[in-house]
Amino acid sequence: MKIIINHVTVEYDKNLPNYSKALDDISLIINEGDFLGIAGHTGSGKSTLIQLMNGLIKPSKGNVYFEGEDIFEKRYDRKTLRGKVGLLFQYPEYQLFAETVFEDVCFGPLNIGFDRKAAELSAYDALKSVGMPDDLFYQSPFNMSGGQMRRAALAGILAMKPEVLILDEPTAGLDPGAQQSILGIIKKLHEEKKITIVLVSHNMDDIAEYTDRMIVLNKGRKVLDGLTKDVFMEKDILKEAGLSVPQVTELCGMLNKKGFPINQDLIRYEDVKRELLNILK
Amino acid sequence: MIRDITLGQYYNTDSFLHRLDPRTKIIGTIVYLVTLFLYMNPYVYVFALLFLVLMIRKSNVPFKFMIRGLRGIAFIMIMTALINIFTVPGDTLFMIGSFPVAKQGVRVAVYMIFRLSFLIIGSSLLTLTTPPVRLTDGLERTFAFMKIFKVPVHDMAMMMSIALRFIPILIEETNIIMKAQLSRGADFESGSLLKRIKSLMPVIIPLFIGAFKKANDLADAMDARCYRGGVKRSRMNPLKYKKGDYAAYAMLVLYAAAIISLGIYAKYLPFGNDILGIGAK
Repeated sequence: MKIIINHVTVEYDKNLPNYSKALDDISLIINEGDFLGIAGHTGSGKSTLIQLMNGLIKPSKGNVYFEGEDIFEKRYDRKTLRGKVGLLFQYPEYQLFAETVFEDVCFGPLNIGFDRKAAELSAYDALKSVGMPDDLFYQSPFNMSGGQMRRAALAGILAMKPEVLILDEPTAGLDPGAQQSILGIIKKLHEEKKITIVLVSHNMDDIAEYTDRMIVLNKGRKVLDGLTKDVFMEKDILKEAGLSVPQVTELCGMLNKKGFPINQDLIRYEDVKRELLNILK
Repeated sequence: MIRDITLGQYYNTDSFLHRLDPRTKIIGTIVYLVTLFLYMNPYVYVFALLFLVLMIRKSNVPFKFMIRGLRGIAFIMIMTALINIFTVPGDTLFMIGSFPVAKQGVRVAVYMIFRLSFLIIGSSLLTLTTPPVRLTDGLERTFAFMKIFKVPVHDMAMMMSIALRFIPILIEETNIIMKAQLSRGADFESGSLLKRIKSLMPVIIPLFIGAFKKANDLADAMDARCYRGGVKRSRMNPLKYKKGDYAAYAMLVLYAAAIISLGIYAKYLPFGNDILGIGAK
């Protein structure tokens, strides 16, 4: 059990006119090696939940544990924690600031106590693993395309060698090609470097395609938690949470209604394609 | 910290003050600010405070929300007070080390703190109860007479409303960038002053780049709608005085009259000259 969130409630400023609980009594266990998806409508508490995991937001009630230690204990070293639990924010290209991409990627590891040499080696590795072309290493990050900037920002987190990588809508605002390449990189990190991944998204196709397990948030509450393929069978709860099933699952449902005998519990593109080809053969 | 700045924010609710014409509120605010600078005696200040409390009650904005605005400028207030305490000459009250502290200095310092607090709360009442668009309309109409002196009133009002509109956005953005850099191990709280200023660079640079980008987009959007400044523009919602406005003006006149008479005749009242018995200069 890597991260344990135990009955956590988060309340923001009660003085604001539109006050509500951002998270309401949430419990969640993230295991080593998980590829967890977090789905929910805008304002459902996704961003709050992940900021809790690396100690950026304090819970009003409840505790958060990382490897058995309470991360909000006074003496707990949250800086080291942020290296181990890497969090890539939404639109992370807006956090780039250094003169060169390479310098920017070194920022994280230097902060958490890597020496210059180790940081540079780690930055080099990270840039390689996100597929950054060599000739861009010493370019200004502000002259690159959106997709490249996003890769640079991802490398900035990876250079800290995180054990858990949390990504908040990593594909938002990118063109389809760049989206697939970012998700491909994340999948590779999970498979080859054995990094535990938490993927926040409201694109159900991405969640279906990549995650093994998912949770669904609605108005600050956890309404579903289970294997991704099981969660997508709970159509009513998903609908209530303002979410849908993946497009291919929707397609299967529609075909079935018209009397076409296809399995309805498929959620991944490749599976549906294989099934269709099988039936049509 | 930066979240505490309430100046320039709009608090969405309904109240007597919210319904007033922006011109009434602008003139009211100006009159109030002027009365704060006219006299320095306890009666005037108590009366100004009572008036302010009444206005806050009439605005339906929670009192806590207003006080929060003061926290942001606490540093400026303390500095002003200290400078006054140490620099105003007069009868020595006591010594701090080799610095004499004059009665007059303490007196001015105490008044300065109250004056600044009333000033900030009074002017934030204007923006808290007036949406930016209405505020600009009001400013433009109130100062329209200055057009005969070739003052570009419309342009200035427009610039001001844009600035006001951007304050909450930039605050939000600063928060996000700070969090993003914190999750990369940045540390804004420890080390020497120089180190702390340096540690803010990764926040300031992306913030500025974002602001310039937004300014560019905004200029494009205005241009695309053929915006040409104030020349022959008609209004969608022309400003019109209502009953409440006349009542408010009557109240304002009474208030100003009360302050002036208190200011003139306070010396005949007990402690009217001063709390410390020094007398106004």
